[in-house]
Amino acid sequence: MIGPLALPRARSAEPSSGHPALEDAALVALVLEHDTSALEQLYARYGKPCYGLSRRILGDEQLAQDVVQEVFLTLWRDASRYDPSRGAFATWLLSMTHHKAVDVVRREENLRKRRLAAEAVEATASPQPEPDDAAWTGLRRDRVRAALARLPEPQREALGLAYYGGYTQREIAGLTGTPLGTVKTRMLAGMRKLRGVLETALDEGGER
Amino acid sequence: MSIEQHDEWSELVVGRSLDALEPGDDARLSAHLAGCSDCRALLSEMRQVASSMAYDVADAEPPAELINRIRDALPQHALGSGPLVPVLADQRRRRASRSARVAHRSRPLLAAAAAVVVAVLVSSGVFVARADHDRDQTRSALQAETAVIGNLQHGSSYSVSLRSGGPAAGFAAVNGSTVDLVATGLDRNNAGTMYVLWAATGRGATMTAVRGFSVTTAGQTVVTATLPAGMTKPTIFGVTEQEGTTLPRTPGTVILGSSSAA
Repeated sequence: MIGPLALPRARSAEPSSGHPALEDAALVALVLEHDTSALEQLYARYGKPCYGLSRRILGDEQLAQDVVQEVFLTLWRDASRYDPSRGAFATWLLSMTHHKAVDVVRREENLRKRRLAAEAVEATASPQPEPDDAAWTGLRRDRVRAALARLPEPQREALGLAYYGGYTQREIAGLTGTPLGTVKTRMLAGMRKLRGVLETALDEGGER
Repeated sequence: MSIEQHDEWSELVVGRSLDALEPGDDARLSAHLAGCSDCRALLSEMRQVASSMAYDVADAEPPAELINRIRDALPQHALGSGPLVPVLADQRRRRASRSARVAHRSRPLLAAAAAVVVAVLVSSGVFVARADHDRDQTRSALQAETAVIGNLQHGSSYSVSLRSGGPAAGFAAVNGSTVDLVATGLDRNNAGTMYVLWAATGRGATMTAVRGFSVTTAGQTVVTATLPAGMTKPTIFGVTEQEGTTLPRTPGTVILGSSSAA
């Protein structure tokens, strides 16, 4: 199982008050008791990646904010849905963000047409990260990009259309003119290969 | 299970991990997952692989307003799901901490503010029976309003009445560097817009945007904000509805305001 891609426990941009040194699971436990500062701490850690991901999928800043808001309200309402034994909190939160953003993009079909504009926003308007974050983020992004780059183009395309585009397997088959069965096979092969490459990279890097 | 069957389920598991299944496949997989621990384990693993793809997307700074929107929405959601006491206890703790910084009492102002609140509540039909959800939200707003009035017991605090050309009304309560806006009759803001609270230190002074906020439920609105750095004792307040999600530099049409702002 891979799991070490969780974000650092305490990031430099976090507020000085609250619970800056607590691990994610401990903060989630406090959120279960409706500790608002714990929720704000988790927002300080993960608000940016959640917003970045939803904005990438939706291509609309207002809808992306709505998704992030709904993600953190869901966390507040029912933090017990996170089970630490099943993976890192970051994975769970980003999965939820992805799921909600994809729900929205499917409701708002015309959003997909605006995605190119959104990618332009991504390229030009992303803020410069804090220095400490930059090192970590750069390492993490390089690793994932390298892993994706090692996939055969048809596999990378299928995974990209699904994850970043919010398309279903059947829609991808239609978009690429590929039989549905082939799309499913490519996605399975691509994900297995991605898992293997990421595990190898982590073993070589000797990181958490 | 044959290898072919296993691969078919694995393909669906991967599809689920990427949120890429058609509804029919999704339902079929759900039924299968209930009895297959191998596929459940694979799904957990594949979700982690899928989430790693999020790291190929640059982090983006959400507007500062977003955390305020989330904070504002918390009590309503918490009330809707049951656990009322911890949330209100937390609100009281924060407000008590803020109140502790102020030493004196000001009964005339308190009475005036209380009168405004009573007028607000009566005019908005707080005491009319409503559906449970509305009652919960009303109760939440009432608790918050009561806390605001409580803060006005302290000497350096004061309130400013806000009126509109329509049914909206309210007041701004200032306590040191904090201002609470209590209002009723504000409609839900339109998509792509937000309400903005403005403040100025007197007639002729520049109106400064204090914070933006959303109204998601018709009825009472209570918003807490920190005054802009360097601003002391503002006496003019206004509320506008403006396009976008970043604080504008100049106010649009004032929907609700003190007599000098409206």
